[in-house]
Amino acid sequence: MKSIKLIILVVASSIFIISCEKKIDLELNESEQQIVVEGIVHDNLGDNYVLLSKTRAYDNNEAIETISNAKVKITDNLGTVYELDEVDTIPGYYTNASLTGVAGRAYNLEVNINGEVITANSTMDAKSQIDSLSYEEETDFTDEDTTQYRLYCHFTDPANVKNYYRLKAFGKDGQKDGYISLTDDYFDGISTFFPLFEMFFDEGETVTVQLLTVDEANHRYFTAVYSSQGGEVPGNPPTNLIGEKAVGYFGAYAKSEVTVIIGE
Amino acid sequence: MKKIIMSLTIILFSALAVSAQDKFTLSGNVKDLSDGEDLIGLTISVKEMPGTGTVSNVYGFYSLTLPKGEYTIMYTYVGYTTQEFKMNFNQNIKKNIELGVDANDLDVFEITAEKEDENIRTTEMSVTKINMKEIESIPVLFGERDVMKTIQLMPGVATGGEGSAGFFVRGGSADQNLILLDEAPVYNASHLLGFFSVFNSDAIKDLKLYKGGMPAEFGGRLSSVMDIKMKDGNSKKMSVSGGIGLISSKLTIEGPIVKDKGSFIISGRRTYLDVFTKLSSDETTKNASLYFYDLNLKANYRLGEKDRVFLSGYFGKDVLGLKDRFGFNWGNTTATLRWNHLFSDKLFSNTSLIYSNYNYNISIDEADFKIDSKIQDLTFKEDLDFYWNDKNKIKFGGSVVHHTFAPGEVSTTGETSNLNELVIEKRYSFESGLYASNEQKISDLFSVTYGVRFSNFTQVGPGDIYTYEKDGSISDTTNYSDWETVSSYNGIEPRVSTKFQLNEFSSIKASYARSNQYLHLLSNSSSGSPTDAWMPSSNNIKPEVSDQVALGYFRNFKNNAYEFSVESYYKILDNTIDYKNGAEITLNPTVEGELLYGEGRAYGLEFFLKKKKGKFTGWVSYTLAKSENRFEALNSGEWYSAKQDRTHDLSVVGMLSLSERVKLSSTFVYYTGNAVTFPTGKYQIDNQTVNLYSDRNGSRMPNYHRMDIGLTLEGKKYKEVKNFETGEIEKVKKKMESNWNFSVYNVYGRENAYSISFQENEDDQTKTEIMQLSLFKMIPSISYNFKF
Repeated sequence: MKSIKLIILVVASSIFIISCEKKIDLELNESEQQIVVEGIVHDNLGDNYVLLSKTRAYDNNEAIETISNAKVKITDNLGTVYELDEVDTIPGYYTNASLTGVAGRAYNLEVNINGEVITANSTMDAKSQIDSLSYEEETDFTDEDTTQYRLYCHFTDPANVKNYYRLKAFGKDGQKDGYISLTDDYFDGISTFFPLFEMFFDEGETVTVQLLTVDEANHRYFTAVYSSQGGEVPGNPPTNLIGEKAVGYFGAYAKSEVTVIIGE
Repeated sequence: MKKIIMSLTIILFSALAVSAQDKFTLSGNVKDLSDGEDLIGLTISVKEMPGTGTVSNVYGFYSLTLPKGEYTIMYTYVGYTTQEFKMNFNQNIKKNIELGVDANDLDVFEITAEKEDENIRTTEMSVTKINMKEIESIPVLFGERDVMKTIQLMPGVATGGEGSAGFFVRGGSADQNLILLDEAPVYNASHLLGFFSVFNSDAIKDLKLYKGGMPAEFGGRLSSVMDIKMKDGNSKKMSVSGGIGLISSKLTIEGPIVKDKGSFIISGRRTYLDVFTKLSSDETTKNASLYFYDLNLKANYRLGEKDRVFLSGYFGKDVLGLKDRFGFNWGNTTATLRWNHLFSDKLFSNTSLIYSNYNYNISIDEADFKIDSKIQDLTFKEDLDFYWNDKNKIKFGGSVVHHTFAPGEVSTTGETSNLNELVIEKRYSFESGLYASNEQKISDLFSVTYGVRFSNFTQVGPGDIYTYEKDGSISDTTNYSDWETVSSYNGIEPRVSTKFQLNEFSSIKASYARSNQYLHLLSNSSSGSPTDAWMPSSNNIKPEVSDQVALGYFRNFKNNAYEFSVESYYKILDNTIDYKNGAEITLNPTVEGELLYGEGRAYGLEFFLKKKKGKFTGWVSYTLAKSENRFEALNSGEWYSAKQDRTHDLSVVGMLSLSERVKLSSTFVYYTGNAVTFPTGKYQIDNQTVNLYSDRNGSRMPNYHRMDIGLTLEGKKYKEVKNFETGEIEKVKKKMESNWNFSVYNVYGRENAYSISFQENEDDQTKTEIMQLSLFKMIPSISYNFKF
């Protein structure tokens, strides 16, 4: 929905040739530093991580400050505790090789940084599988000469259950920008296909698309992250993290992943 | 409470005491001599009794009751020649007057009319009137004269900014202004993302903006009422006028249906930006359509001495699109049928039936997707003016509006669609009001207008009505059948306005008004966009209520050549609406769950100095103000600046007539930037930069300032013609009047910030930068205007 409005505004303002855009320097108020927690548990073995870092001033373009030597653990509702260890080569990145997410289970995350405790909860829902991926040639509004492709993800939504999804895509440059967060309001119970808005792919590019089934809190978080970026109502997205000075999210996602090579 | 009843009874008795003697009534209609247009607000006064008199109403009707005797009655109106008559009040008199501008006077500015001190004599305060002749020379964007842009040069009225036709009155938000075009409400008064308003100034006769002390006949919006009256059309002869400009043109045709009995006016305007885009070599731009049009139609006919009917309509549409890709259009339609009836020479009635519709639709061909949204009103209104005697003028009446809200209907043609159709339920409601007020002259020096408005808002079915928990989830759904009451709100809105005349040239005024607002505009931008949604009060949303007190000092200098006023106001607002962080406002069926309720307050000081006579005229307006909100859920329950808070707002307008045909004008504006929420830090989520925010509205946009200049060159009014009989060269008045208008918007090309965005650097995603978008640098414009 928001992308539609974005397209309209982009076209409208590009038609208005008199306007001009320039880079400026602004003195912004600075808030207290917050701890950033990104935690995901997937339904594959070892496919989980918690990223810990700190926020920084807006004009600080130096490297991101990560948090090492924190105690990170995930407990499921059966009582099993998984401790996540920091990977030597990636500071701030914690993972556990023996944890596999299971649908229907509730997971609790606990992060302890020198006595500061942050917790969160997330339940993994049943997986919706990607049926197939298709692509179509697209003319990018802003760049006429190159032929680009838009990807569509085909899947079937379970009827009469409220489902929330996230779509992620990985191309030749790594993860594609954008947060696509959906509810099944428009397509409850039907087989549908959804375009990956604002993501363009080149001929011959190998693309991996992930359809993640997420819980309501995570859906609200990613929808809000999108709209808070200079959109409707700027503000911090509602986080499911419990703790002082914590931003970010924790989610248990069921992942369905399909790879396709464009043009073949 | 007892004291109030006591004082009201005393005032009423003093009013009654005067009616003991023999009295007679003088009444009639006042019109413009050249084109027959009703003159609104014309002063009828008694030479022998200064301070006694009346004023013509919005239909040009007046009524003056005096005790038996002989009097000299004067009819005066700014810019027109005064007429005086000796009359014997020994019976009721019917007198229709046509005032004219003296044809022999070449220099219009030298005409002096005596009663120009209306600003100090009327009890009306916090009112701004636009003189349609004056705005002809104010330089504007693209050479388009615009009443909405001109009103923003007045104290207490803050502009929504470039790219917006929205405005804020005394710190109120953009949805708190009731905009009426011939009594029909206009929901979205802006074209083309706000660059132009929907009002074609060629079709407008009168514009009055009430900023406070709202008369009891108006209700439904907290901050202001913009009452716009369309011209009725020249009832004497056919007239064609128009203008050709760089990006838009307009044409007006008016004339009599039957001379002096009925007339019509058709006025249209269209932009043609898409003519230029079609010439572009760029494929995308070539297929773009970007235009708007306005059409104003009006006809009126006098059925007899006592009756007159009017039929008026407005149709306007904006189209923005890319061929075969998407289309976005929106528009207003209004239609009004009115009937003036004279029950007696003291009781004037107007009955109106009004239809108003605002809708927008978006279609995206490649996703096979269409969204329709609309709001529709049907109104029945009855207004009566009772000119009881020379000391009391009573107004009373009522209205009922049926609102239909269809916030969003998503449909597909079904073929390639991958989406179910979604319909956000329609909402229905009735908004009604009943009012009575009296404008009473207590003594030569003291007048007061007091009244009350009773309002009611009832939401009715059919529909599924949701109730929400605090976290936004639905706690209950109830189904209502047709016309079944869902919720109902009542309001009692007292209105008082007083004037105390200090001396010949100055007065003090004070007012108090309480208003209820039942419709709320949910907007996702600070200045408004066509997709903003109007929501009715409901079981979840309570009506917004405001109380405003205002105090002002008014003074004229040098025989009314200068007008000066200073006014202060204080407003309290209850049940103000704001949004939760990350709220989804557009096309959300459960948007009511995203709202927060709190309170607001606004206060300020307005200065206004105007020079009305001489070769050099103009005005300075300066407002110092504060507008803030308090919500439990935001900014830790502290008072914070409202989006539209504007600390300083300065406008300077100057007009200089260099000669009879050449006029130079200039405008300078300066104002503090809006309160906005800027990031106070950043971090990464999913390898993308996310902004960190702390206080809502804790930062400010940069200050705005701009200067415009304009030059108007009038065509020669007279041509030299050889008189064949006498052989002499004579001066004959030309049939067609014309002028050229040159203007430069933003003379020193300042890049004022339209928006500031925070984004990742395109080349290096780990870095961020701040981008400022400015809409207009220096823009010259030429237009040619003519009139037959």
